[in-house]
Amino acid sequence: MTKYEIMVIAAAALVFVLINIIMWTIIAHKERRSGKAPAQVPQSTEVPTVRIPPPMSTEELFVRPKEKRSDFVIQESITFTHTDENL
Amino acid sequence: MEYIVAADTDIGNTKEVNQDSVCIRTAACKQGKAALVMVCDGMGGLSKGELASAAVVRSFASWFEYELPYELDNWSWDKAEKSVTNRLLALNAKIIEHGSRCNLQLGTTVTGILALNSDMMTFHVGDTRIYKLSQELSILTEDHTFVNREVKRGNMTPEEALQDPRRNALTNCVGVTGSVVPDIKFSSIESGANYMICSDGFRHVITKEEILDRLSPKKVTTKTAMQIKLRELIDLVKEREERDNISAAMFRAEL
Repeated sequence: MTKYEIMVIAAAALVFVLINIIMWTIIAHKERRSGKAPAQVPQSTEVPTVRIPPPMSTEELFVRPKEKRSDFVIQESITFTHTDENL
Repeated sequence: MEYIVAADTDIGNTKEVNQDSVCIRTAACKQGKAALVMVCDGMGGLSKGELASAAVVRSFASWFEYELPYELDNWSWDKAEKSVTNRLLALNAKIIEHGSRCNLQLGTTVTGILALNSDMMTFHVGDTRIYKLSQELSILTEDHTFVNREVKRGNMTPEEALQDPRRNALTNCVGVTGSVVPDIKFSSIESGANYMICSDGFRHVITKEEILDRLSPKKVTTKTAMQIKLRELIDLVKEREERDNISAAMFRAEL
């Protein structure tokens, strides 16, 4: 590498470091300010959290949770199985 | 609108246990008509295949009778797909857990049709097939078998696949591995067409032409006719020395 190339790389590295110093200084300053005075969020703009239910467990899937509906009438029922055992 | 259904099963010539399970339910509801038609083939090379297949049909029968009526109040086929897929995943876990506890390995194919009025959803894992018989015969499912995968990749011809000793090896089934990926498809029901779900033992030694000829939608239009023709085909298959269990279920909609 020539001296000129080394100088260019060094200058780029220096600029990179300076930008990071400035950026992280601003971020740290903002965090210090927010720590002293928490932001006041008006209730009307609060975002409601949505609880995503966990996937059903195997137990839940095999429990019969509901009563039979009178408006759902079974017309044909054919079942062939060859064991009385259950899981 | 009418749904016409029938099913038959046979232990076959050589097996000691019939590891196939079949479930059909039809219902009248305020939304119209609903039906569930399923065939599950317990895996013969593994223990207690009949328990795996029975567990699946019992679970789906219970879902159809007790939970689907409530799901119909706010129906979408997306929800139906999630419902069926979640149930298959839970059954897969439950069968694996049972196998682990009892030091067994058990598994089953699962193939079914869920129909609501003039629409249907098919769900499929394994090598049980759904045939549609109208002007011609078409197969609505892809076999999840090693040989079918090799044929699609060009590593094997269909003729070689028929003779390959691995022709019964499945790449996707319920109860064996932690991963089950059902094929789910949606379509309209063709009025007057016959749909037939059958285990592989039913179709090994008969041709598509024989299936279409015996179960033609022009000739087989009633439950009684379906029962007679299914039994005729089962007897023919047994005469041809099929070794596996033999099961089939039929569904027809007159819309």
